[in-house]
Amino acid sequence: MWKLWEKWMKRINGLVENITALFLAVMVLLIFLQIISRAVFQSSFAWTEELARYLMIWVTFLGASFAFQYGAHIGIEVVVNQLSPLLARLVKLCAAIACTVFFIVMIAKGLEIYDRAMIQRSAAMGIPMGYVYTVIPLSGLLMLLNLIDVTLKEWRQDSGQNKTKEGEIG
Amino acid sequence: GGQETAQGVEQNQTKEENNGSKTTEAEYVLQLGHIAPPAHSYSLGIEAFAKDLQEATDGRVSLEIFGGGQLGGERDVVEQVSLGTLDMTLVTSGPVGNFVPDLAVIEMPFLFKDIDHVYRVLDGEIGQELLAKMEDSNLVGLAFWENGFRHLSNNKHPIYSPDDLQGLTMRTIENDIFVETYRALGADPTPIAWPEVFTSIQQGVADGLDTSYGVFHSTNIYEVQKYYSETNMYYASAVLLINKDVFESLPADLQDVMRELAVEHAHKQRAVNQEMETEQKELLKEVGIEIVDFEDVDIDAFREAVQPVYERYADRFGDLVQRIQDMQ
Amino acid sequence: MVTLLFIILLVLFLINVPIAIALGLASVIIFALQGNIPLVTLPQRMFAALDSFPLMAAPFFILAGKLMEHGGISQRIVDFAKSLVGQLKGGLANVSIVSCMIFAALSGSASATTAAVGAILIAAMVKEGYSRPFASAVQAAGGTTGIVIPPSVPMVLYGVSAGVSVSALFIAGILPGLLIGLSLMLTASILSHLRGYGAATTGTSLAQMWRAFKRSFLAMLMPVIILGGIYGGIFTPTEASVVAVVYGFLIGWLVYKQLNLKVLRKILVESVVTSSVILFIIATASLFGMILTREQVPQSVASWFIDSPLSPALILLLINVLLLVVGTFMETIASIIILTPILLPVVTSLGMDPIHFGIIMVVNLSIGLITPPVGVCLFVASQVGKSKYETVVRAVLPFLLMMMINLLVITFIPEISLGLLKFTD
Ligand code: NA
Ligand code: NA
Repeated sequence: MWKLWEKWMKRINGLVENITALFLAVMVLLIFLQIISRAVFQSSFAWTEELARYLMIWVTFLGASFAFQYGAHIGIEVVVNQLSPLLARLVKLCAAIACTVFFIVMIAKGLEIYDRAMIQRSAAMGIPMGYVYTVIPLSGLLMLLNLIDVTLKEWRQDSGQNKTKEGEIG
Repeated sequence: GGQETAQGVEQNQTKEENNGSKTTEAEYVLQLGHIAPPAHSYSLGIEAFAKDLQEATDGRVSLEIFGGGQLGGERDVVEQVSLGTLDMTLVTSGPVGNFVPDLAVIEMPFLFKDIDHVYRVLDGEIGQELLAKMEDSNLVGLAFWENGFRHLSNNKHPIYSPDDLQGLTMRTIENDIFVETYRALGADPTPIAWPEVFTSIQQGVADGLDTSYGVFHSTNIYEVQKYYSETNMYYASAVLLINKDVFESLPADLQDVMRELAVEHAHKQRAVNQEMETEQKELLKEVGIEIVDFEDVDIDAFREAVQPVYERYADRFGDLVQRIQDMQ
Repeated sequence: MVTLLFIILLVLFLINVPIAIALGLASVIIFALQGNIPLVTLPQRMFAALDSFPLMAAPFFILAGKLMEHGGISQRIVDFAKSLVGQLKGGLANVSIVSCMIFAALSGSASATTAAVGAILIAAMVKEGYSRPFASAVQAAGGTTGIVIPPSVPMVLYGVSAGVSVSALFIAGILPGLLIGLSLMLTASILSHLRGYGAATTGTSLAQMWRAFKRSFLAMLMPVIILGGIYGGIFTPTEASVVAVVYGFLIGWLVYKQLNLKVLRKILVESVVTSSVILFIIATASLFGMILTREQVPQSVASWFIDSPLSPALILLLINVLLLVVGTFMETIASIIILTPILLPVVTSLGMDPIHFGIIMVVNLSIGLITPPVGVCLFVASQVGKSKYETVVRAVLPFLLMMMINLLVITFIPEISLGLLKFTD
């Protein structure tokens, strides 16, 4: 059961990682195209900027899901680190429940806005905004899955593996 | 954000301005968001409207106004009103076109003969039809207010006819009709997001752009431009919007008062805006902007040049283009 | 309601709920309690907060930094810095800080700067007899220039939330960045002298310097291309971030031949993780900001300060203390997003230029990068330098003090930030 879950989580995250990496590369190409087309060919497209912007939004929400696997989400660990192992576990459980509540709201309200934004068109490409919004419920679900995965892993290994800090920047 | 409108009046607001007084005694406190700075005709018009509304309803309805883009840009606030997370907005018609496609017809290039032609269309049958269409997006359009005709500014030379636009790089918003219009006029259109417009013009990424007098003046774009031509390139209207559910929750008498006052203040705000444009024109001349008057612009040449745009896009709006042209 | 909002947020922070989710959840709870704004505002605000073109510079500058880190540019920068200041007292310590400053001119982030240069120099310094914690501390302190010297991701975010020009902020950051870098070099030299670290290497001849410069020329050309492109009217600041990416990629791939498809995938994924974590905070912080706006908190804070009998200088000092305290516990990006809308009205009403305030904010937060407990540059330096966190914290103290002096100077002499801007009009 655990093996199967692990296998599928790896597959899903691998796929999402590849998609976001691709999207980021496409964003670069789109904006570069915008510069080149203006500087060299004296003509521009109306849709490059909008598409790049929406790709960034997708990359953000999808990236925030597998970021859990890298321990990249920034939190304040000082207090929890001072607690006894038992208490720390309890507090971690509370934190996980808090996150779950947020993700459920993201999924439910994300589905609602997907539905209600179908009448609205994007300014440049003219696509229904509902499609652009689908990333919110989708990523809510992916974040929930990753949170469960990370929490379970931590419980199974119980202590001290080194997390790689990837998400920090200053 | 994407669509800008009272064109990015979003720029130098430091969000300190908020004119809404919290009147908790009122039965209905409605929150209204817009993006204009305090001195813009939007802000003045909305304050006057809010004051009269409170008086006319004996204090039963009061508005809490959040100006200067505090609650978001224009596409953003229209969406909020449509979803019901915000009650009201006064917004340039452009972004409303994302919700009500037909509304974009009023932004067809060189469509209107003069300002009276605009008012005849918007205050008549066509205007009513357009407002009614907003109900599909859960919006009630109360009235058409005004941002103003958009004119062409640039740094190279005065513009009298399309010939003067040849080879100029013009900043535009990311919308196919505007891009095609500039191409038809012989310019090189380039979409630049509003927050980057000022420095782009300053550094020469683009030579010029189109703005109304109000925006040209209030966002200081004029500091980095030399020439401004009154071409009446297109008319930017503004819509006073309220969420449909919120509006219908008001008693019928209050609904009537609100509709009446919205129309009454549309006329007042337009008059204020026209007056301000005259003042702004003088101020711009004083600081050395070379202004080409409407009379000196070869408007027929412009209209002729954008014919391909009409051939390509007029069908989008059914018979609306024809009907508007017939009202000249 | 606002008090409750802050209490819930604090509790969530303390039990280590990620900052992004804590901001979002605290806001959702308040919306639910108030009951007059439908919860569909959650996806609506999160989306709208990210729907911004200038914001795109953040992921692009992060990507550009990673491309240079992996593409062989850092080694060449270090070699060039060595030829410049290697012969000074505390030779390698100075090399490390100068390398950081050069890397800072290419990268938008401080942790990337610390990591890229530290990976090469900490080991070298230890080999020459520097204590390991000191070597790591030098690296952490030098790395903070990464966000003061342009380009800078925090400046992009400040520009977006304050509605001021990002390119003006970039120009304004140049002199403060140089000032901080030079004063850190001074500190490192004095300490090295006192402790007898790093006998000066043999002097470098002009010919050697020229050779090192030629070898690093393509890397050094990059800031020229970025700033030159912006001020030459070829592209906008956001587009410049993409030029940085393309340039960094081409150099690392075609010239230095250190990038291949596998490395590239790794770089892209790492950049996605780093930027999505930051942008996700921005998305949820917008909910929080919306509550503050609708409850008119910024106005109340501003009028409290203005009505108080405090002198403007004292208010500025207080704001600096507040920012330092926040920077001690909070992460840079979240601090900017939350505090800009609250503090900006206060300082503009005191007549301060929003660009100058942006620089003050960024310098404050750069100090926060080397203050415990949450000091990202300390984390990175202790990790890269394989030294205990606590020992690095102790070793960094003199540098911390020097940066606070810098902060005061930058706060009360606006010309350091605004002087260069006068030449760009
Ligand atoms: Na930098
Ligand atoms: Na800190």
